[in-house]
Amino acid sequence: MKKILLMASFVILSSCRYDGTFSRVKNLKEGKEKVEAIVNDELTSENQALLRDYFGQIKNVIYEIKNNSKIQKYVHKKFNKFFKNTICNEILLDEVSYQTIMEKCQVSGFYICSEEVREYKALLAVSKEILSESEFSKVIEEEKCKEKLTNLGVINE
Amino acid sequence: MKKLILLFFIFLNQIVVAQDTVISLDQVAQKVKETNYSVLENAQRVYQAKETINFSKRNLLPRLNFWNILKLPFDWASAIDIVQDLAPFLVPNNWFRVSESKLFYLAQKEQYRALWANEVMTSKLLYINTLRDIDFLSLLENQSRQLKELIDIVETRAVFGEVPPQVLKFLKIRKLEVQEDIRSLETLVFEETKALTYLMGLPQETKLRLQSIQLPNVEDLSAISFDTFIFRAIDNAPEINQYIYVKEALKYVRKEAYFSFLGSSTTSRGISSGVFNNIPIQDGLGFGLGSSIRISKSEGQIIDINKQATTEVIKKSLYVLVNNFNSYIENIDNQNERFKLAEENYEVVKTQLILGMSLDPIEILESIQNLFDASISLTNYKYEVVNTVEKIKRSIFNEDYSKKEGKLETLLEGVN
Repeated sequence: MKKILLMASFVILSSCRYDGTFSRVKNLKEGKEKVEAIVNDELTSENQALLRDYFGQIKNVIYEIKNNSKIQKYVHKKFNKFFKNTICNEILLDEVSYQTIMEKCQVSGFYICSEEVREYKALLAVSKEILSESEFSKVIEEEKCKEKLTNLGVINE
Repeated sequence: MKKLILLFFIFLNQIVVAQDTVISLDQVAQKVKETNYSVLENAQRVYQAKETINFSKRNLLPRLNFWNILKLPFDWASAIDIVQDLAPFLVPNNWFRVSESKLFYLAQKEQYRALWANEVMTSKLLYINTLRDIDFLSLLENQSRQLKELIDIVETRAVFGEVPPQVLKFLKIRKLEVQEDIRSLETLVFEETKALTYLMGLPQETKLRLQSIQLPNVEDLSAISFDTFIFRAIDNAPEINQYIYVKEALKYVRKEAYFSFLGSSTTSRGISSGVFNNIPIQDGLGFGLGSSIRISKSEGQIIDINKQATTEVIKKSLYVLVNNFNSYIENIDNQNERFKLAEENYEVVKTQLILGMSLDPIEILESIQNLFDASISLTNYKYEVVNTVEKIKRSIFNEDYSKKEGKLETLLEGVN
């Protein structure tokens, strides 16, 4: 009985831990909204910090999943439960806003934003590799998401 | 026959060694990354830190310790010691060491990145300064030619008694001084080239030739602001990232103290773990736990203080760089005007001399000197702008200095 309890608590605890990763993915929505709100503003240090937080969060989540096989397994297992096909549209910044930001990041020949901002598209390409084909197909089932990912160069069509 | 072939190859090798190696400013960063001695040494440390992660992971697997097994028939109580050998994964501290070594690896990578950037900047600045000295040398040689022309004219006039002999001597003294300046500058260029050869990890036998660079049109540059640049300078600084990773590792050291009653770990923390050597951890749960935790908290504060100090140093140097950059842009017109006036003055004097007008040789010498000073000043000014741009790029990790933070680099391996 004790063993079963111990095992059960271990499973529950580890699930909670991985759920943390999922909630971080969902929290990207908030970050994206903040970034969208400042797209046309000046790049002050505060606004640059917002960009760093959003794009940095993307990097951290992908790093977390890519470097932990257990989380990866958990992602595949719970994919349908946690990720609806609207998610990519909710959490990812579109190409137009991204380009506006990138233009502002270039000042007198210097690049002044976080490196994560510049590597946004490359990070998305990495995230695509984490998902299985069927999972990715589910993500792009929604037309808006497909269009967004196509514009961002994640899918070639 | 074999000896002949060997001799031929040695001869060929000598020819290759004696050949000039032409290098451009763009190639300096790559060369420093590939062959600079300090960078190579530090790269080995990063490799060691990475290998320490594997060691820590493998240390979680059972191992054979012959002497511990031998002890068992004589002392049954020593069976508990075998747990460390047969099931090291049951010791939580061994797991913490794995996490610590991962963070120390990332910290070591940041350290490597800082050193690499500094070596690249030092080499590039040396390259630029050498080119500047080569340009100065050619300006001096030009001045020497102008002086020679003047001496020829004055010598002729001295024959007719139009110029007192001391003026001729004075001009000859000046020419000798210029000759001496040329010699000193040639020595300096030679030393700089040899220093650059060393920084790029090339053999000292290499005869390095530097390709000239396009000096910027300072007039076309626009002023920059500290407020928009400081974010990247701080956010991207490996010196600061290093502290972040070390502080993250400190959490695991604290956990080690809490879980020490389940056995201490014998695994090394890794290459940069010396920072935690002064945190005592008891082997077992004892009354020293409180002190261990307090010392580790204090260590955390030291890390915070160092991080803050580093931030301020970065801010200080960026303030100075931005100020210098803007100041160069504002004052370039003065430099151009000075050069233009000096050049016009020299042309007037030269024309008068050609027309056979009576001129004071000292006045001619002064106009040559003015033109030389203005040329040197303008050339120096442009090179200073190049230097400042290079330093700003280093501060905000642009172009040659652009190297991704640990996690980002790991993720993008093979993507870009």
